[in-house]
Amino acid sequence: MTPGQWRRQIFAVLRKEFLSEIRSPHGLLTGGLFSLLAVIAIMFAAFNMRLTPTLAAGLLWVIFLFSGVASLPRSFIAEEENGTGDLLRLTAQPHAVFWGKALFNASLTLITACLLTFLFVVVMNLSVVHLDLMVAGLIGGGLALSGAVTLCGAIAARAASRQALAGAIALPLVIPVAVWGVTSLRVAFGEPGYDAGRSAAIGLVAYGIVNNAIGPFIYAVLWKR
Amino acid sequence: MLRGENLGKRFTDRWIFRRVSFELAAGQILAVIGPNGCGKSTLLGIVAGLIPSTEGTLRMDATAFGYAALAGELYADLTVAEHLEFTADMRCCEARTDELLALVGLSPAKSAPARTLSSGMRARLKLAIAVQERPPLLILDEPGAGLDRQGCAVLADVIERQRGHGAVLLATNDPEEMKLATHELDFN
Repeated sequence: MTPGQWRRQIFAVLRKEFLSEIRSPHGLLTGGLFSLLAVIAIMFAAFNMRLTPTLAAGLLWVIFLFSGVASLPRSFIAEEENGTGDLLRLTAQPHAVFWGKALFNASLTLITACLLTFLFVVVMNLSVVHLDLMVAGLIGGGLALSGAVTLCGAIAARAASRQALAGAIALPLVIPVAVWGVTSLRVAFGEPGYDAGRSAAIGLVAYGIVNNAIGPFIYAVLWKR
Repeated sequence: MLRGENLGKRFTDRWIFRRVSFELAAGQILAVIGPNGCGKSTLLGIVAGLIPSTEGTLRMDATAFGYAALAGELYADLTVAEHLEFTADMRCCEARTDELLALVGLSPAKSAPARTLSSGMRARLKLAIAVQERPPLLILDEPGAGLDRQGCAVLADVIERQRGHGAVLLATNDPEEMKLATHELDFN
């Protein structure tokens, strides 16, 4: 296939995912509502308290991880549950399908992460000391989280207990995301150790690239089994 | 164009069928017939590459094939036209949306989401998707199920056109569809 054909396939999958999400916003509702409720609960729990940078970073990443693991694997799992997987297998290349869905999940994660972080910072009255680290951590974290969870969704999609299996496989894959994510964000919120924060942000970006790079090859093996 | 030799399929410890051989050349319509559960759809799934066979060999010379199955689903939130655009992008071919919708009689439903289509309209859309790439081999799994009289005429027309430039592998129990066949593979 030529690069143009690859692009055409990937963007077709991306467009299909966006159209489906706009018309039936399952992912946005699952991730967005969970995130919103979690922020409201934390806001009431921490009433009159000022969160430390470490605690704020930890709480924010707990929300990212749970909303991501709950909503992101759906893009692959829904294909099998709705019986549309065969249409994809008959017409598309597995790599293009994976990258199209991974791009969609990354976009969804980044949008959710940016809105959620903005809301969290405003509601909890946090100060952002290193905006560069926060941006790099969110972008890297979004890529790494969506890459890891998309891969889990792709692996689990044709199993019997898909959603539960995707969550179980995701656990070891998202631990590095949680560790690096919290490290970069707590430094961004004012904890000392800029170098550690920068290394964590770089680690997140690299991990995201690795997950998104190997994902299509694993998916291609499982594609027609 | 297509040749299967001693094909067999086993699910856990039960053989669905064994030692099935057939050959399909250009200009032929091969009807796979037999009672429910005998493995007609499974055989077509094997030919389409959706299901691995347990034994036997399959040789396909056709460069592409179209596949439409009763059991196949569509994207509930995409419109009829968006389905054809999507599959054209996936196959990197021309969408031919208006032409195909006119062929299967779905032009008035061009902007309708798949969730609002009747079973017959869904069958027509699947047929349009299957022939979009003008494939030399067309695989149809009970394509007439859910079709009204007009739909059956559309199906017969599509099969006849396909015969002009390729071959058709057809799983059916419909006597009218069987009449279209030039050859039969009987699972009885």
